[in-house]
Amino acid sequence: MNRASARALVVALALESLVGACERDRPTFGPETRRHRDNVLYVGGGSEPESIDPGKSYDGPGIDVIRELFEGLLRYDPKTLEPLPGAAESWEVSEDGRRYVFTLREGLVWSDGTPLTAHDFEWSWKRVLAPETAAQYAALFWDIEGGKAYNLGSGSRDDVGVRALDDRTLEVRLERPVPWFLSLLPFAPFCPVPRHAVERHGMAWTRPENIVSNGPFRLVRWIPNYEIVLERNPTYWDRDDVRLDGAVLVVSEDTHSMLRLFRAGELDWLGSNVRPPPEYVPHLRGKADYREDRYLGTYFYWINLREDRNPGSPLKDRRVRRALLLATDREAIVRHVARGGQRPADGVVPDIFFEMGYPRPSPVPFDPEEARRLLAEAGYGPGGKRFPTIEILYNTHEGHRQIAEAIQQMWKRHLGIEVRIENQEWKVFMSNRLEGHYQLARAGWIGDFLDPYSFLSQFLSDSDANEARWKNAEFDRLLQLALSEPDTRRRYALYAQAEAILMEELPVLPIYYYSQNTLIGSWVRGFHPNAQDIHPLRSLWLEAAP
Amino acid sequence: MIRFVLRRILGIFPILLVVFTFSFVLMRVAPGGPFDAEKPVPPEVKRNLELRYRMREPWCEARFLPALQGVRSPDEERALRRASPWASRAERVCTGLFQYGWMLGNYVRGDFGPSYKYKDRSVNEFIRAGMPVTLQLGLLAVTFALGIGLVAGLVAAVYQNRWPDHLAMIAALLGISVPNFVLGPVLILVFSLGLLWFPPARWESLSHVFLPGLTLGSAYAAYVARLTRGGMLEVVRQDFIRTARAKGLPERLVILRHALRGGLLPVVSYLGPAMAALFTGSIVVERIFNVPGMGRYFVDAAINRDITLAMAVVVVNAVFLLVANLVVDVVLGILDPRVRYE
Amino acid sequence: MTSTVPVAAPELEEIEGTSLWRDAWRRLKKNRMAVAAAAVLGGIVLFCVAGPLFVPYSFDEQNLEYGARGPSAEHWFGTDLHGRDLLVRTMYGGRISLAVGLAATLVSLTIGVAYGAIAGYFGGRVDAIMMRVVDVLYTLPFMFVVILFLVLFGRSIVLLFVALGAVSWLTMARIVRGQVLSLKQSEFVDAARAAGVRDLAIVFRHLVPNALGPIVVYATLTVPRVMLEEAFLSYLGLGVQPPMASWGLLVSDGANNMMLHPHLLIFPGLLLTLTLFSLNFLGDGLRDALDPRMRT
Repeated sequence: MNRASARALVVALALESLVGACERDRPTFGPETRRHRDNVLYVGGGSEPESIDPGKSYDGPGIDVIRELFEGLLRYDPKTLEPLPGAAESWEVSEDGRRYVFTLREGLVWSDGTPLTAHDFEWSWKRVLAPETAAQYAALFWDIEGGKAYNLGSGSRDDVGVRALDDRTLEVRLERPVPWFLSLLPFAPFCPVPRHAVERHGMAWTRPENIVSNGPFRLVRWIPNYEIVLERNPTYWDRDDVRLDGAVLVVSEDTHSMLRLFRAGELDWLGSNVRPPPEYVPHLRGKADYREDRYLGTYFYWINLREDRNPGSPLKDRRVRRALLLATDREAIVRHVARGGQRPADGVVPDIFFEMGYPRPSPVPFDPEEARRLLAEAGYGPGGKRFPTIEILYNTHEGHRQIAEAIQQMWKRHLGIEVRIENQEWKVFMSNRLEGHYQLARAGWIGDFLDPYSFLSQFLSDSDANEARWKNAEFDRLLQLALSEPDTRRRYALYAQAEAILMEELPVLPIYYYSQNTLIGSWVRGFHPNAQDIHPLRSLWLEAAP
Repeated sequence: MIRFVLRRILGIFPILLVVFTFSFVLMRVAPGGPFDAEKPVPPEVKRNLELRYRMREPWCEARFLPALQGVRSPDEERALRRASPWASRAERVCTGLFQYGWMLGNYVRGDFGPSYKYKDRSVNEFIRAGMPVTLQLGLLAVTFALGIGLVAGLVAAVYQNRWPDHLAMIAALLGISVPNFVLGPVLILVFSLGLLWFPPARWESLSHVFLPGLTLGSAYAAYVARLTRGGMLEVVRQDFIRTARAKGLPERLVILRHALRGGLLPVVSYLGPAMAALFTGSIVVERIFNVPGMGRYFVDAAINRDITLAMAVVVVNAVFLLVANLVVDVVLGILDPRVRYE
Repeated sequence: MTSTVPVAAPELEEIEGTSLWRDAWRRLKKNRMAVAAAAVLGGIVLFCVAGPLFVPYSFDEQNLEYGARGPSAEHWFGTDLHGRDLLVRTMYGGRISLAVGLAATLVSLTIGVAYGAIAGYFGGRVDAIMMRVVDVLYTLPFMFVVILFLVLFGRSIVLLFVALGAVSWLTMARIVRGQVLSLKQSEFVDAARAAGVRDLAIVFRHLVPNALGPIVVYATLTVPRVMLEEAFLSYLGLGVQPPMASWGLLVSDGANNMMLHPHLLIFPGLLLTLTLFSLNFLGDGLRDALDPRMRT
């Protein structure tokens, strides 16, 4: 065989293996063995972090980096995400659940050797609340005594209920008991920031050459829109338990390019901010390096109920909303469009809570017959009023487009309703949604903490996140009641009652419960799927690494 | 000639001011603000943020919409603004003017200001990090373009209307007709995932830069080939070439020593705008190959309403283009004795 | 003299015009490549415009269970991810892409010709100011302007035409200005002016028709460029709205799914490339025919 035809054969074989032969011959999508030789994990990082300052960060990729660089009083258990002792070795909670006293470990130091004390925590938390910081997560601290007043500019710094009693003791006083307060503490905004570095370098303190941190890793390099390089922090109190020498987070918004990097063995793990494109999933299923798990999120469409918008819209009629939901074949969407192992949603509280004792809502069937009946009852359809064209608003994204297109088809086919789908660029979309310029708008809600309240509170009458401006006093009352209920089972029962009202009224059309699917090399060990897709790197290690 | 260059350099500044103003206005009138997010922050927090980034000006509020300062919810603010549209508009314009002045002041001091999206960074850092990479990528692409384009163009001109000419010109047209968001993935599929010759993305070593350079350069190579061919054919018809031939110079020497110099003029004048277009042209290539350049911000910053970052890349691009054009004019003057500086 | 000129000017123009066009037509017909390109182009237009009449599928009828499959007897081009017939989608996509190309070129033609001709004819300070504006606009990156344009005024297909046209008239304006500058020294312009023909009439009735050669050539080359720009916008997700599709959208979908479903890229990609190819060839042919001196 001459050289040219040998080369042609190589190309043909390579293409062949890409296109179809994977299932037969190779049980993996990426390489079977690791390409990199070092003890450094190569991970997809998603988009460029907006900030890695614990006090200012508000975006997923930024928070993921902060989790490696900084450690709060508590840290996440990699399997369950229950809070474990972090910088604090123990804590006490008062009888009424409003006063917490934390004891810090002895001998904690920052990565530059400066001692880390309870005063650092006090200063950091108050920094988040300071109005001039303009921290977007500041509202998480509003339950702390005097926190809201200080943040809004009416109170003073000294009245905030956070105080270092001595170098190793931190006292926190809350306005009201918050059942999930401890589970917030591993979260980025509650991490300490080094006062001395912040004051010396100002905004530039998070640069690799200036940063001082206290977590399992420290920052070596940060090239915008390219990569973030971490290495093991030698001053971390639990350094012997950190098994990776470091990690490279490859920053890119282009999922297809990340997929190719994984395939070529340049990435060990796609990372939790990058999802394989849905159209690839059927081909990835069954591969040894593909996995699919449930995720704490719900995908739904808002239905605008604001009084001052869309007067006379048929969507203001509850029967119409119900009809639309019944005519949406969510099973088909999940199976053929979303394709990533999502489950059709019967409510807004994700199914992860069902195993934790949350009562399953009554299932919503796919029933075009009943849908047409309801529509006729509302006066539309044959013999009735003509149903005006309605519009679905979604932001520019392949996945959202495909779902909107599928729903457009379903409603046309089953109800004879004309739907226009309007794709808007993200900021315009958000601005229209917030201003209420829409009829139906695509939304996704990811839980901040492991309690159904995180999903239900957005429907409170006075919530800014309630974009439908749906108002229901009974719903508000039930949620209020639930908050003061310490017993989990009974709290869940109250939540479920509230959710039932929501599903009766339908200010939203739930579509599916999110899943988290990813590609991860079989050589990456210590990876545990969990509800929030949080995977501290300190608990991962590489098989057969030096 | 020095006076010409000096005058041109001075002429750059008013153009930059217009570009600055135009892009500022475009960014400000576009709907959607930099701080609109899926999980809305409480209005008070958003207010703090807007004050910090000069999207709100207390003086303007007090002057035109004093009622605004007691408002505590976005719905209330909306209602208030709708009730007095003119005062609301005046307040917006006033705030915009303050912000404009603030940014212009920054620019005069050589500071592009803080990024609205990336809260830890100043825009200068993004430019400083991205520009060298984009320049490298651009130079590489131009090298490819010249290398491939000149040879193809020369061959085509020498063999005019014979098959090498047709072949080269069809290849050139193909280069122009395939979008680079198609060419990039195809090259990756064949050369990195198939043949394993090059890595599929990233910007580390020589082997990493090859595919992105080729992808970006291909369209330019095609243009260069067409321009070279045209320029050569034009020159070859002229008298001094006939003279050279008549003198019995070998054809190779005629082409390389005499014709090339004149034939390259169109290529040189094309290079100026082309170099600048590489800045914006690299958007796709940077994305597909994970190259940390600044081309991406033309699109990303505009979409994120990162006002300062978007304006900075537009202004930097303008500077680059104007300087590139100036350089081209000077080079043309050196190459072509017919050009006179006015 | 004054009495004869008004008659003479149009006559002069007439004669020159006809012979120019006749010559060009003759030259163009001799250029086999250009003729072939025109034929291919005609075929593609016919395919896109009349094609859907002969395909028993609609461009938006989904079959989710069927999904993306390669070419078959029922679906010659195969189906896309939603199980829609790719053949008919490619035809509809072609209509949009061609329409965008033509309409945007028309917009750029209108603005560019009017602008360039006025600047060139009036000359002096008017010209200096108008051309300075063009210089400034040249320095604005077109993607940036188009994105904000679409964001500002909404995303309809008409606006896509306007936005793309509005950013691509600059070169046209420069070409026309150059032509008018050299033409306005001609005798027939002096004659017309002497006969009291108004300035604007001179510009649009006498000068522009005489500059038609380069205008046609450049317009032909603008069409493929605009089509590529539309494809790029589609790649960014800013192009036409689904369920409609343009070739750009189909091709960018195809490029993403190339590893799994190569037919999604191959068919629309082939048509897009073939069209751009033919347009460029035709443009080159026209240039050679209309102005043999400016062969590039």
